[in-house]
Amino acid sequence: MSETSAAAALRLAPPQLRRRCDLSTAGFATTDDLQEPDGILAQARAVEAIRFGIGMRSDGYNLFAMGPDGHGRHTTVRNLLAERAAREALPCDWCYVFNFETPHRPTRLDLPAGRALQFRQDLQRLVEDLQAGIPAAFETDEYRTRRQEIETEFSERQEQGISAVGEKARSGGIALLRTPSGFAFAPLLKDGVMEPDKFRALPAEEQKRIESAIATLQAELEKVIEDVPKWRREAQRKLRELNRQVTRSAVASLLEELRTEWGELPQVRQYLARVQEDVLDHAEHFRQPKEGEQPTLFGIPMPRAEAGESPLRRYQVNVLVEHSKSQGAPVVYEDNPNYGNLIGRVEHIAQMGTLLTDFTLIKAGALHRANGGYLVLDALKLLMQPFSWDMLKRALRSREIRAESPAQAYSLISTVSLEPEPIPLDVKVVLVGERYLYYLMHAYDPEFRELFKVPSDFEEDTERGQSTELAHARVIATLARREKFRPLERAAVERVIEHQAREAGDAERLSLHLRGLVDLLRETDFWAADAGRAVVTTAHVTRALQAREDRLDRVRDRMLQEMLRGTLLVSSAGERVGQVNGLAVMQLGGFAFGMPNRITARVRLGGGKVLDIERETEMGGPIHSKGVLILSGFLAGRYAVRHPLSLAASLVFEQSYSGVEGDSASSAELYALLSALAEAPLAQSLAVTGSVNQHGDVQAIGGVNEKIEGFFDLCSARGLEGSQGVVIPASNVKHLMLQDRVIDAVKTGKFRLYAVETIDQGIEILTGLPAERVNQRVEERLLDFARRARSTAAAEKKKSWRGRPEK
Amino acid sequence: MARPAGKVKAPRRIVVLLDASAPGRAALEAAAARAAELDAELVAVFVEDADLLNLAGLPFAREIGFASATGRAMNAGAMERSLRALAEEARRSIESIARRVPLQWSFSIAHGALSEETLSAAAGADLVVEALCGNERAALQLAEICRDSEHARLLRARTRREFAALQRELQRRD
Repeated sequence: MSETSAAAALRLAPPQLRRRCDLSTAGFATTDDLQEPDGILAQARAVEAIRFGIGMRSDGYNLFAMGPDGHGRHTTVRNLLAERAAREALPCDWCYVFNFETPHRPTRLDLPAGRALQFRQDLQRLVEDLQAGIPAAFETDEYRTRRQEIETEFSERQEQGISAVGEKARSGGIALLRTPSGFAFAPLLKDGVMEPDKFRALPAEEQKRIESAIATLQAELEKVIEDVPKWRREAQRKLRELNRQVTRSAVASLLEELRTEWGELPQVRQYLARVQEDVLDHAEHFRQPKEGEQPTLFGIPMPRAEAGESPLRRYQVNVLVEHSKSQGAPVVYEDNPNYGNLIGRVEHIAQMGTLLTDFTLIKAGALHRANGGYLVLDALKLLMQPFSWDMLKRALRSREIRAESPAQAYSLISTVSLEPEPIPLDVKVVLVGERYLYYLMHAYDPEFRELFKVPSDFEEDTERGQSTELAHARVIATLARREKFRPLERAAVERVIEHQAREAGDAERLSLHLRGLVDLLRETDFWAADAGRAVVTTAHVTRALQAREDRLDRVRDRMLQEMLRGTLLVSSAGERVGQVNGLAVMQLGGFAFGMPNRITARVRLGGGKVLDIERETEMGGPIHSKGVLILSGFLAGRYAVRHPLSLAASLVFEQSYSGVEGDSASSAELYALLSALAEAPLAQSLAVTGSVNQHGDVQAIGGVNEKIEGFFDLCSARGLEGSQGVVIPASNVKHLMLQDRVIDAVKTGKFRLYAVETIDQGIEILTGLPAERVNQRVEERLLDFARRARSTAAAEKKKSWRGRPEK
Repeated sequence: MARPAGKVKAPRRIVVLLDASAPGRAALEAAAARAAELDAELVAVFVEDADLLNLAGLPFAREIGFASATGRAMNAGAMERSLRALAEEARRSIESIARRVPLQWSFSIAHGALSEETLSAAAGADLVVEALCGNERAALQLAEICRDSEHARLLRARTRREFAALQRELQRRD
């Protein structure tokens, strides 16, 4: 089949197939000569948004850094935050201390930045000093004497009361006896108690007299004894007062020291006053640190809580967050944003099968640590953790951190636990996530809109030009230095930048996928090391890219093999009516490749319907169906304006056993259809891609490079003969970043690429006939169909008239 | 009994007489502990209080509880049982001291009057501790024996104050 002159004009020249990167004017030999780039590469929009978000101190201006994975969102966010945080003031330290009024609600204390540890130490020393000082105060002779006075006073009072009754009894010949558990009266005989027999021998009146005397005495004694508890209470009160006096003298001087040290902080002053009162009330805790005396429960030794003697725990200081070693506002990244890690937790200690807790077991979470600064979280991880997202919103809205367990927050348990006093929250949260997460949350969570007002949208590629290429080269240099890779020579850098354009699928853009870039550099470094070279060259880059492809191309290889063996029928020579090579892109595990696919069309007289077999078998997606329906529109609009479209056509992707989606084959389908209608054979040495609209304009498609290379590889395996090539939409030319093997073949005239804007241009290339002739034949054929359809319809009508039953 | 304190030698044998009263138990335990320290022999005699048994036998006998300040009826059987229990408790307290430290000891129970045996033991002792609150007869017997003895020193421990004095005496190192 000969090429028409119009077709020859549409051929692409080699320079159009790959936009080369040329940094020869940049003046560097290897990446060692390049400086760091100024600012963050081509993310002006995102960076501006982050700067705005972190500068805005109002509520709700939290950030969402969105964009695809591996484009440096985390690094950018962290760098910008660190830069800003370093200039900001240190936030205060936070502690929890015992609440002496309501012990289950620990009190928070905020201390000037970096002083919490000292406060804890001071309190610890106070307790130690009290442990020594208080017992010492109680061992003085003064205390002992005063205590004895109180005790003696009590016992004397008691004895006097009893012995007065005793004296009275004795004068009446009755003895007061001490029994094992109390007192009793009995008549006396000589110097002993009257024996029962002798008592019974007494005259009845005498017995009665003694009995009634004893009853009177008993009543008197009862009255005296009833007073004893009162006296005892009085004595105890005096003793307590004495204890307080003694303790106060020991405590006052020690606390005075603390008060001068911490007095300027009103909260601390208040707390110290409460400590003093409590120590006075509980001086006994400081007096009994008996070693080795284990508490028991029903005689069973009980394990003592690990953390020291519990009565004194209440004077501890639980330092939640302290900044003695930090500088600037904190920037915290929480990798595992579960509930407890974010808001902190109240831990428990198991003792005798029960769980105990107190204020010393409150642990800080990421919100505590980031308070006064910045908290960075991964949005997806956050959403995947139960309760975390709700809790974070609650904390941001109420501007306080309430360390409660989810069970408490959702009222799942009602056992008494701690309710620590909430800590005021002032934090800027930066969520990092994919775009769809931002859009979903924005659409479905009204609170999200209020709390995360600043989206920072990261680009996945950037415009390609002299300056961005150089900036990219600098990024490559920086990455190589940071990761300690070998330096890359200039040509290698150019090759890498070209690859970034290929990654972007566009000769005029560069991919910003930094993680992929680092991986590529790492692999080129590996191959340079493998070759024992100190500098990375183009060969190493090519090798790395080739090796990467080789690792992934098993499926492509198998398909190609089956085409060469003739199992999958794809021609690359000759010509045939109603048959064309389409091109499809497959994506498997991050590897995309193009494959030719035979598309065929058959036509006959019919009702004006183009039958899409893919759709009938439910293997075609909606976009594919749309493409086919557009074909009917094109055919009817162009060739059958004045008569009905009396055509029945069927279209199929041959040997396709799974779904087909996309409209990139719609131009190929149209060529097959036109060929079938015009009975004009199509060149099988060409493959076609491109979608088409109702006017017959050829439109851009995706994956153009992969598609061309797919057909090229098949042809090259069978042997290039010069007539083979691919027809692509003209609007895709700017996307061309083809591999050298294709460009070399084009240069030597062994392979052709055509860029077309209309179906007419394409049909001319594929049939070797001028488009007008093909169009004319199509029109004639359709007119013929229409005529036949009309006459058939008339015959049918006549038949049905005759066949009508007579009345 | 009223000898100058300075010339007292460490006792070789300590006799303790006690009855149901609370100071008795305390005096016994203090003496036992000291005896163990000094490697001295301890003779403990629990004197069942004749007065208490007589009292319990009286038809109208009532006791006023010290803690509760209420009266309750008494009977002889219950009183005997409770005295026996107290004696047993006293014996066990010495036993437990003897388990910890080697101590040569004996324990007996007297009913009302003191036996010849007890009296001779007291006469041969260096230190006699008397804590008999409700047994005047036995106390008199004891005082008489100690007066006649060459070296037996009698210390009373019927009240708190006397007990405190006894403790000081026992703690003295010569």
